Amino acid sequence: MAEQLAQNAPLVFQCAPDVVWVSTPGGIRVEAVERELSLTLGYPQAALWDFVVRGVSEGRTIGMMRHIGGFADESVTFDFVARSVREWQQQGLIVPR
Amino acid sequence: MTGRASHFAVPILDRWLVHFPLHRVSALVDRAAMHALVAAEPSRSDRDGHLLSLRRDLASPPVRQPAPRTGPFDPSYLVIVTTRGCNINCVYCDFGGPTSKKVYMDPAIAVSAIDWMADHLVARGRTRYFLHLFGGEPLIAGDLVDIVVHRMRHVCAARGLTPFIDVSTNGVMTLERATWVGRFLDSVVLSLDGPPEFQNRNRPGNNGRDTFEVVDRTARCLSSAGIELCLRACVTRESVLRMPEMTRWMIESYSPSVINFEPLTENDSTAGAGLDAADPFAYARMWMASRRIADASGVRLVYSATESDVPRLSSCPVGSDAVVITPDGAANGCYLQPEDWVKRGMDMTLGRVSVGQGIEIRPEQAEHLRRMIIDKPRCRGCFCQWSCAGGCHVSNTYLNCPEEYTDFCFQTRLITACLLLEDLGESATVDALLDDAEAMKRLVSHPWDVIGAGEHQHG
Repeated sequence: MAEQLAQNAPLVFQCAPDVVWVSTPGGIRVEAVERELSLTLGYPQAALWDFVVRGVSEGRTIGMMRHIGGFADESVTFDFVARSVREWQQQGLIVPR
Repeated sequence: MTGRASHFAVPILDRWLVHFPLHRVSALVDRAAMHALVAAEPSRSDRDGHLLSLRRDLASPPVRQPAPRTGPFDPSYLVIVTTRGCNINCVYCDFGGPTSKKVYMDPAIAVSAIDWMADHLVARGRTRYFLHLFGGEPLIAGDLVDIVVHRMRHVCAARGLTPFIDVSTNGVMTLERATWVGRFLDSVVLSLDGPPEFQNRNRPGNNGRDTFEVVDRTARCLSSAGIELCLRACVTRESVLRMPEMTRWMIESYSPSVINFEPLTENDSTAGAGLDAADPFAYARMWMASRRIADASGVRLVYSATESDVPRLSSCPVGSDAVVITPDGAANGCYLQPEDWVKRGMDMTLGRVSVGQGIEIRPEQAEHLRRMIIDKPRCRGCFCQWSCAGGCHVSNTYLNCPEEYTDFCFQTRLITACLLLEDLGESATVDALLDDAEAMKRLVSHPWDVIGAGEHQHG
């Protein structure tokens, strides 16, 4: 999605093969056990993680995230989504589907 | 204080079950003791002083009387009706599912309601936030459900509240959605009327297709998700005698936390489908047998009219300041549709959601709903009035309803008495009562259970 957002190339993601995640009352905990990587995603990132790993389309994701995060407009939502997805991709937590 | 009766006795075979719900006292006494209690006479057989103790309770004020709410509107929980539409076609549906259009709530309405509730809870110093998703079939509104659940969890995290989200669902969903529900929700009430012969007949898909297979898959998925799973079955004349068997099957197949058997309420649709309500005596007998099976497995078996550990004025959200938001943004005090209460001459509205502003509650309507539940003429003489609380305020003890007991009352009175007897260790008496048709009829049709209020002689 980060690439898509940056370059208009259709791309959806899924969890990296070594990544597991669970929901917690305050968000989501993501772990890559073999890499000893663990991070907690608070909101609104937790909602975005849910949409990204489910392969929800970019348009729907941005529409929903705007309500969930209370973002001022679509471009702010867009920036938040692009930044988060890029970060997760760089960390190897998500890979293209 | 409501001024309602609080001391009751009902005939159980050749004895009397004395019940003081507001004192948390029950006893099974013989005829002589009952006579002595009512007449306030000494009893030679009262060697252990039990009668004296009962008499003391009879004369003392209640220790746990529920009071109607007073003061500013103070909602206990929020209900979001995402849509009235549904993806199946239950033959007994009285929530409009099969005929309602699949119109979904505007997300902005949902977000305004969720935020308003969080503001309220924080202002009141509360720490938990209860949200219930209801329909139609609430989960068909996929994106809206995602928004509602994540927005609610978001505001809880931001404001130090612990979220608790539950949903009432028919279970007809993809495996992906069922997995998602298991991840993000805390509790699910899943309607499943039993094995395929009941489920497929009573709860067919919109195109007439069977639904058992997919609901079975959903139930197994939720069972393994570690959330609270309540299986809710509507019991008909056809299925009533199989309740104990269904209880065992549900426990073995799905390991639910709770099983909820509710008797079918007949309506125009059920008549057309050839479905009949269960005989109330058979229902009570089978419910008690099922409860013993569930108890042995550590599963809670419930029936809404007896489901209360503490005295209550309502068995549903009405009167508790709960807010039900419907797809059009109306805020009501009841789950039912407006036409249901309008035809009874009732008004269950509370106000309306104003996008960006929250929920505008009309104080006079909030007060109206609080007072509506206080006095039910049909229930004035009934020993179940502090637990059943009259059942549904719209379909059962509605405004100006007949005062005679109904089948709902019969089964409720019977089950309530049996549960009180079980608590007293009188399981053998329960068995004897449920084996004696005349004794059951005497109990359920006993017209005035109130001790010392004149209309009927006890003892």
